[in-house]
Amino acid sequence: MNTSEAFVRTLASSLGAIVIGVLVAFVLGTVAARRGGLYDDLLRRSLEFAGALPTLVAIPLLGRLWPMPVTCAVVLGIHQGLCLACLFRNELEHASAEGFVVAARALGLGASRTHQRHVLPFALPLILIGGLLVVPKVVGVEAALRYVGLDNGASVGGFLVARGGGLGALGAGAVLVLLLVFHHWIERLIGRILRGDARNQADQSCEAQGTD
Amino acid sequence: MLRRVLWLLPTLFLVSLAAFQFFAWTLPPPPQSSPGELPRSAPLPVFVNPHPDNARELALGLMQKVAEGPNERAAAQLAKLGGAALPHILPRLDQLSPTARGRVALALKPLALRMGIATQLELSDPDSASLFWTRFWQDRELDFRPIVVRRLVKRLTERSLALRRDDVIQLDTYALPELVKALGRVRDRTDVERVRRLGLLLAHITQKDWRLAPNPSLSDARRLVSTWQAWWLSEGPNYVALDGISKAIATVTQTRYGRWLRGLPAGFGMREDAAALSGSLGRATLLTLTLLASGAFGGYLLGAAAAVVGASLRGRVPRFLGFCACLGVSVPCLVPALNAGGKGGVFAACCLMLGFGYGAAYLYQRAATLTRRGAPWWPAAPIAGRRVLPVLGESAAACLGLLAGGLPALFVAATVLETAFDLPGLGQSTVHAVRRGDAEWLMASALVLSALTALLQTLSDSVAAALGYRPSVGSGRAALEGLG
Repeated sequence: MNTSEAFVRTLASSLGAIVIGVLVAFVLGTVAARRGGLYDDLLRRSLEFAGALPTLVAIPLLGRLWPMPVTCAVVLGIHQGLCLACLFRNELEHASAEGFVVAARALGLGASRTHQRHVLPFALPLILIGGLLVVPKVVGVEAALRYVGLDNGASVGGFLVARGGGLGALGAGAVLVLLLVFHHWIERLIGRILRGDARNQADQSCEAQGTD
Repeated sequence: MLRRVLWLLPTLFLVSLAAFQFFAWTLPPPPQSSPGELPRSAPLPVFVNPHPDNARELALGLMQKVAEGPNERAAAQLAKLGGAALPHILPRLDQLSPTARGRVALALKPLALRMGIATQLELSDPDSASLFWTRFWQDRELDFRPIVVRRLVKRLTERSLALRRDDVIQLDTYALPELVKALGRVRDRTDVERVRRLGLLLAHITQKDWRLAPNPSLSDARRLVSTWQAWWLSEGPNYVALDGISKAIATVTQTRYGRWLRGLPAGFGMREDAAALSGSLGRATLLTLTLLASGAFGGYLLGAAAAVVGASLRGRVPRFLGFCACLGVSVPCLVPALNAGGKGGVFAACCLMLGFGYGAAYLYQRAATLTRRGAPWWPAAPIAGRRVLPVLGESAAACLGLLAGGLPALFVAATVLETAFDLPGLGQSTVHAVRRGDAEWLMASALVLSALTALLQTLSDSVAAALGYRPSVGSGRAALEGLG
């Protein structure tokens, strides 16, 4: 497999994993935080089952049945999504108990609208960071599969990193640069979300005035 | 907390079912029959076996084949099935034609010689062989009952006399269930002597060369017991007649999952590499747990604290901390790329795990802390020293979520570092198991990792509830306390 093909495969796996991960995190995290009880238990059991099959076990075994890029995207997406769902759930629950959220509800704003306007902005940055971390995770796991001898390198792109030498260092360096650039961009985005529009500023002032 | 702990066992059971199905789906199936053993009617199903193996049906099937015409393979298998087949075959001998009866009686000749109840001469022709077996059954029918076998084996385990030994040998494979059960546990020299006596009988009946050497040690005896128990777990169902409840139970126990479940109490004692494993398993577990703890507790705590400190600063410090975090999360990429590592180096591996944990926790925690920067409680002065903990206490929900769900990622990093530094941990063993298709090891690792995930989740939720991040968990606890 040549370099460009490996790059395309890793890119495809990463994009697939990001989509699946964000979807899983968003759906399971939101439902577990807002409904709790059975839904929270569902997230917990899913996490325990995913924990039973670490990526280095699940990917090579499932890769015997499915194409490797698809396997990487599905397994890593689900693992990252479940981990992210826990963070998302915690942050949503924490934010929904803040004073200005209680005040907004007391002023007659509906539960869904309060959630969208005042709770979600606190937890969205985590989803962005989680999505960003999928990339090093995909490359890392693909490289690890090659490195520990579970894949012959014919099917995943991360093997270029595992091959070491100049190309490997270049690949790892590219991942690092990508992380730094996107992290910087996400931080600026968080700043923008927090500065936000008039509605968000009004929320902060509710808290400052001790409305709760 | 108590509810979570009580849920652990049912959860592990469900996880074992799901993981077993996954491994059954992805790993190649085990061979239908072991070489040199009795044939199995069909490959073992995964969870439910509607037609479990049974001595009765196997014996009648083999008798039918032998009676139909010369069939050396079936005759040899019938002789191998031995005494367990007699209660099903001998009462039906009269129903066969004289020729067929003669064939069956002659096929049982090796069995008679093994039981020591006849000579070559007595069974030389079909008529005399038929007559011999008919008379044998008239005389000995009452001996082929479970209660008689139990008494005979019990007497033999208490004291070995030639007569008692002969009584058991004359029941042949019909006595196998009781003999294997009587092997029991090996704790002292008396047990070793019992295992030696029973092992000789088992070896004679099954025609296997599994015996104790002169002056055996306790571990030799334990190994022999494990060998017999493993064989019985695999081949035993062929020698036992099923009826009523036992047949219903066998639909579940005579499956791949049932066999794994029944072998669970013996742990890895039944494996060929049991001796090597018993020496290294504890050390490997400790090593991997140390690496995971470095990442989960050391790394996450460091990352969270650094993120809180960095959130109140501007300029080079947060940039440097961010760069270190990106470097940390790239550890599984950087180690193979730079070919880092070498022999030993537990400390270096722990430091790198710390870096990996730091990286993940820093990035999440920084995002969570930045969203709190406009809160009224946010200190005006830079956050350092004593001010770190209260701010961390207000914004650590993300890190606690990571503690609950970050174990799989930590395990990958630990496995890469074990390989890089040539550390014999659980990660490396799991990788070998995947390569060999060792379902037994993979199931064990799945259960351990699942239990570890459950415990970390419980810990994370307890801390989150105590800090007030999770009203749902906290309110559940308050309701329970209110009940008390």
